[in-house]
Amino acid sequence: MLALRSSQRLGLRFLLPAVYKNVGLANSYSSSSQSKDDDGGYSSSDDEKPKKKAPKKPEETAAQRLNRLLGSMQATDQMSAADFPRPGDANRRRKEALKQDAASKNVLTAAKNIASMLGTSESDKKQTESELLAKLLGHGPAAPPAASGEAQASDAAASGGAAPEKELNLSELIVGMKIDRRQQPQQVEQTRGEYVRRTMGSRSKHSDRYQQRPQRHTKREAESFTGSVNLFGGEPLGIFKEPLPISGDILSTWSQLSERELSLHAAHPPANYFEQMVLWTEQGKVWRFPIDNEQDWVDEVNVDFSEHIFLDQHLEDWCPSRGPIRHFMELVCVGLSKNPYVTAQEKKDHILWFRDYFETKKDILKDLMENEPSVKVKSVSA
Amino acid sequence: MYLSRQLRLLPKASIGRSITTSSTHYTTTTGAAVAPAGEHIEIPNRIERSPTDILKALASTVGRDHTAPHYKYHDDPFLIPMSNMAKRTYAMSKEAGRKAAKWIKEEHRELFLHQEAQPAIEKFAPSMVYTEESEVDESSLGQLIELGELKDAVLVYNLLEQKGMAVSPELKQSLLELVCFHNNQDPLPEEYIEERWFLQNNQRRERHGKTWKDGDLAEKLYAEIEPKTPQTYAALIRGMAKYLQCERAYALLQEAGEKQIQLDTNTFNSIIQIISFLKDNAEQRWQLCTELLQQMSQQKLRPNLGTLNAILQCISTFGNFKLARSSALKVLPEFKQLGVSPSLGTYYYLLIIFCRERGPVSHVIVDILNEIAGREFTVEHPKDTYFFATAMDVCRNHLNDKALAKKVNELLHTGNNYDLVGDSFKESIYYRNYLALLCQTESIEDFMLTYDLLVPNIYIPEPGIMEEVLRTIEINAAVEHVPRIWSDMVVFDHTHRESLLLYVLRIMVDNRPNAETPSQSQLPEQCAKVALDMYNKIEESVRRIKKVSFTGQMLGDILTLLVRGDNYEKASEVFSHIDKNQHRIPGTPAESALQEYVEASIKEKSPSQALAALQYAVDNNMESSVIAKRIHDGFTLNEAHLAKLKSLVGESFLEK
Repeated sequence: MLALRSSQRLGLRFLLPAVYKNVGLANSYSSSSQSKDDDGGYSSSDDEKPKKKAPKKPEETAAQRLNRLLGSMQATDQMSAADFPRPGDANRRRKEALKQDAASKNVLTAAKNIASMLGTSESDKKQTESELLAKLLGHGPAAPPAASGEAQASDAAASGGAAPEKELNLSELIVGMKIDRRQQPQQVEQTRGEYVRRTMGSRSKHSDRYQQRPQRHTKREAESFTGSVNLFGGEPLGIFKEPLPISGDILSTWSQLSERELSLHAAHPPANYFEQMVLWTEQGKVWRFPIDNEQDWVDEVNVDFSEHIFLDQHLEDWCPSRGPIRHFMELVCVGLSKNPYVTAQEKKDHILWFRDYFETKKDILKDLMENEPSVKVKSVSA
Repeated sequence: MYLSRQLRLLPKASIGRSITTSSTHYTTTTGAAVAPAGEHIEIPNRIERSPTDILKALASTVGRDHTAPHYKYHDDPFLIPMSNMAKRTYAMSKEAGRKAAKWIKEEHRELFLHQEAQPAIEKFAPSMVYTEESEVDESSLGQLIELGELKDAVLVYNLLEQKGMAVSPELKQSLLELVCFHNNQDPLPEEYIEERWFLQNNQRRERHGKTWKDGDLAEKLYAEIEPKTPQTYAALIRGMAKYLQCERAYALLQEAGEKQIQLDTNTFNSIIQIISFLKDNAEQRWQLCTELLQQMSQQKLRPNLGTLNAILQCISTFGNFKLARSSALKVLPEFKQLGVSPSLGTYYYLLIIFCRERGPVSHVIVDILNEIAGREFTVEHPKDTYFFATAMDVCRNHLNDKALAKKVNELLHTGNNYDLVGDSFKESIYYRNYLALLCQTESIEDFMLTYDLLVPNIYIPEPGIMEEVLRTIEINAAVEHVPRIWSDMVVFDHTHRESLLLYVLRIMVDNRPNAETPSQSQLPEQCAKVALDMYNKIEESVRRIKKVSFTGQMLGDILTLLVRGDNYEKASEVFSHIDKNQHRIPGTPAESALQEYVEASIKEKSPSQALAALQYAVDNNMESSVIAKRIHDGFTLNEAHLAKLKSLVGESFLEK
């Protein structure tokens, strides 16, 4: 449904002098377009008739010109499309193939429309249509020339004028075009009644669409109540008659696992801080409520406080009752008794380590004592 | 000291006061001790509380705030998710952070050896790693099975085998159960709660085919255990049934029957569940089902909830509608006699048995709701979480009944029933059906109340539901809601849907607001803003992947709205866009749009704009005489304009 705006037509003609010379139709064409320019474009319907009845031949050239331009467009598209393979290409190509199926149908109808617009006789229409299709679907310059002499001439014209045309892209071509909407039925001012009728009509169309969908098919407005179902009062199956003993699951690990899985089915992200705390408690990431200082107190549950405080008892059987070592060890005991971070057993081990240490250093200590007379040897008797 | 004395004095003082007011002769000093004779103070027994009881009690005091996003999202306006996609992305990225932290904890275990907490929190210590060289014994295997650590348990078991250490039959049995339960595949760790919540969204396919690993560890373990105990059989049968190795599971059950091995109820349940894979038509299935029940009855096995739901699951696969109904109604009383109380999963199966797309309409949901209204449920069966989504689906698509939907919604919000809504996928199905049903059946005001409550923090409508909402608005001519809905659409990223855009425009154009009523006096302006916003959005969208292109209709509507909103400047900008890009824009604006634009041009006294509109109308073969006449009457045109007018429509019209 494309028709060239007259001014643009002239512009195109200047671009393509060769075409018209070759075909030898420039005169008749320009005269027809001239007449239109006089009354400022073909706006009124009166103007349409002369245009439609205008000599067949110039119209043919217009079609051919369009052919050629469309052909060159295809060629440039192809060039840009020739690209390196990219990820997802295969998928995209598949989609495109689908799209093209639909597109080719559109192309067919479009070509038919153009043909019916341009040609008057049936054979002309057919020919134009086939030419258009050959150009469009044959992808560019390789399109086979049509059999008629006129078509050959147009092909020659196309090849002659090809060089200046290269730059003429689709957008430039279309910019000057107007969309011909003449065939539209004349919209009349709507009356209120018509509006109502139309909306009613569109409503019913809506509901039609509903019924096409299988899911909606079952939807019924204001469904009558089908009667209640007596769920538990019917005739029982009669398989289990005598009372049976309750028996547990024979697989302990399995039942434990399935219980855990079941609880996960009802688990959802915590909705407030308390639920977050519940979750953390269950995951063992925080201490448990109620607050209890003896929580998880496993190592020393049975250890009396006295074992932490009174550490002298560990000295009795090895430490001299007085002297520097005794003094040192007492200080160690005081320090340990105030340390809450180690267990009673660790404290005891600590002290016993000193015992072993002094045992190994006995000789050195004895030497020292001898050199220092003030200290009696007696103290290191242990 | 002072404080404690005060505290000690406090009760006495209050007692004294109460006594003086009642004007009795009790003295204040002995008030606490003296009690009427015969009154017996009963000290209640201590109630043992679990560590989470107090937290749960506190949590129950916090309701859902409809105006705030879910707790899991960061409380920052910039980080509040506003589309379903964003909700998922944000939640999952938070979880991804947790995963990253966990990875670092495992990868750099040497940094986490210190124990700050006293008592230590074992969860924070790096977990034990078992390798080929680890020193292992039976007890560590037992521990791992207890924890459900499948991979490590299998590793340790293999190590023990290699070292020739004996594994006790009990431990082997436990391991067999563990391996059968998980099909020797590590399950999703429990703590990834968000991942599980969103899992169904992308994993729509249910398990349909067999996933059981034939000849894998489970069967090896099974072969090793001699003599075969009932437990051995039961574990393998259940594993095979769970992962749909149906034929072999059934064969094994028959084998056990021949060898007089006493199995248990849950094992029978697992076979009843897969009857639909064993037999082809309804009659055969039902026959096998009753046979299995007979066997159970002979072996003195007491059926449980699992049996009931398994039978109903089997019945729900019957193509024969009448047989399905009648057998379901036989099964239910049978189990009532046995004292098995149904769970929500049972009702879910009833719904799918009774309310089928192609079957007759059934109001069974009414009876179900009468049965369970106001009750609180806990999860007892894996299918319990399917109930609410299915019930709402039945309310909308099967019965289209608003009152029932409200009842279902009430049940969902009873007690902790919301826990059983399932996951994000089922939740959104539930709300999709709920909103769609309400917008078809409720008045627009009532509907908008619900809409405000649910959107956007609980549920974000999909474009399809948005269209339903718009349809409701159109039917009710409630154009005052359009600005609100439009802002929601922008936020939810629905603006690249051409059908929705056209719908919004159509509603605003067709329902011209009445400027006299005070509630609508702002509307033309607001509509113009919406239109302008839409215009800008579409222009921006050129740069995006999801491109929306203008159509003549759309631009005409935008033009109309801008004119009505007294935004002439923008309107003429839009018109020049239409005029310049005629070859790009499919379709033309409505004639009424052009007429309104010309009217506005007359008001603004800009004849050249009006003439441009006329030129456009003429070029596109639209009805131009009305416009031309308006221009001629409305303006006092100068020579140039008059000449243009003449050249466009011809002399003839002036003579009229």
